[in-house]
Amino acid sequence: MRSEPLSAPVTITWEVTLGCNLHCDHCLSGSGPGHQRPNELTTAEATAFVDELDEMDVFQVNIGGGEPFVRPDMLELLAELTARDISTCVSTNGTQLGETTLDRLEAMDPLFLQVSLDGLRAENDAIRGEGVYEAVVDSLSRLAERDIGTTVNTVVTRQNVADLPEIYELADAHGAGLRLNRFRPSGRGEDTWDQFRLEEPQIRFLHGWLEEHPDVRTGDSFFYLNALGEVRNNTLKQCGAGSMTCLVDPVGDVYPCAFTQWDDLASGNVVEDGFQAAWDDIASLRNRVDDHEGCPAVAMGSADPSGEDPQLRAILSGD
Amino acid sequence: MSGTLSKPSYIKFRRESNGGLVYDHENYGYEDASMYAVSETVVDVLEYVGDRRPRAEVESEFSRSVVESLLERGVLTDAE
Repeated sequence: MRSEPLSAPVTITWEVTLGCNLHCDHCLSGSGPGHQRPNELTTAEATAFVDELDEMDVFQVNIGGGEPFVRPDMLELLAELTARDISTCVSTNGTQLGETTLDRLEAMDPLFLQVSLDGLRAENDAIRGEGVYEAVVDSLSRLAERDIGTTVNTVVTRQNVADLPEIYELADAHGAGLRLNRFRPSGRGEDTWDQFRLEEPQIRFLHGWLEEHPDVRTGDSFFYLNALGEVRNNTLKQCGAGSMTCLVDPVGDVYPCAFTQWDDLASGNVVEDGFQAAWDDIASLRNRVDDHEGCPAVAMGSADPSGEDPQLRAILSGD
Repeated sequence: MSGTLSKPSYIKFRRESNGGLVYDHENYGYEDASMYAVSETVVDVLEYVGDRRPRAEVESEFSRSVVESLLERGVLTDAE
């Protein structure tokens, strides 16, 4: 770990809207139809923010939401990012990818897409809505014909974990990689935590399966431990929230990560304060999100903010 | 062996207070990217190469061993 704070984040997550055409039961940001905040960044404000990202030499921007493509100016903003050679990763629900959109995305570089699929047809549609599986598979088929780096992202739940081998094959058949993410009690996930979280035998299955599939990418620090609590991936142990990465929400407020959007960890606004000032401030907060096992964000939100990630223990023990 | 060096498009770099950072990224997400702290010399070389630069010029400005090291690490590549 460097002793000096970085001059800028390596990557950021930018939640560009809370609007979404879907209303998923586990949505980490609680997004949905009509959920746009009235003061989400305008095109001009968002473009000025992209300029500052470029000036600060931020290497990579992960676009999320909400569903990014419900923003009418999304393609314009992606073009602004990629024109500056900022690696741009877009997380989408996969239902808004018409041919005209794909034509424009294919012309952008460096740009990568992540399409959400939370199970096979029944399990996915139970969480994400009727007909969504069909729409996503159709999009994957069309993406397979395109020169667009594509990954399928699955939030692993009690209902879909047994289907991972088939989801892996489905992604592979469409030329896409598979990336797994941890289900967290964030957004609507707070209400559905007991419904979707893994049970202990499933956790053991998951980690055994991951050992056999090293090409499957895993999206957060939970996966640095295996089901026995042993370190399996040191590169993921170090949480980068506030030190290498941060989150910018739809109105431009800056937080350490997507799961620490709490008032006492807000560090400024990209419009009112500028992103550099917000980053400098959040980097100084880093000592408040360090020295935790598991996910510091979850630990800090627990009853014992200085303790370990209680979910990690709960997940490992199945409690 | 090509007589021209270039930086692969998936390699990004910048200066920091003590040296610099190199970021190697080819896929969605950051978990399978590589990032490492580098010396100011590495940043100097990457800035000098720019889009592309004859290898002989780079070796003359810095050293043959530095160029070979960066080629070995994939930070520079032989331009086609």
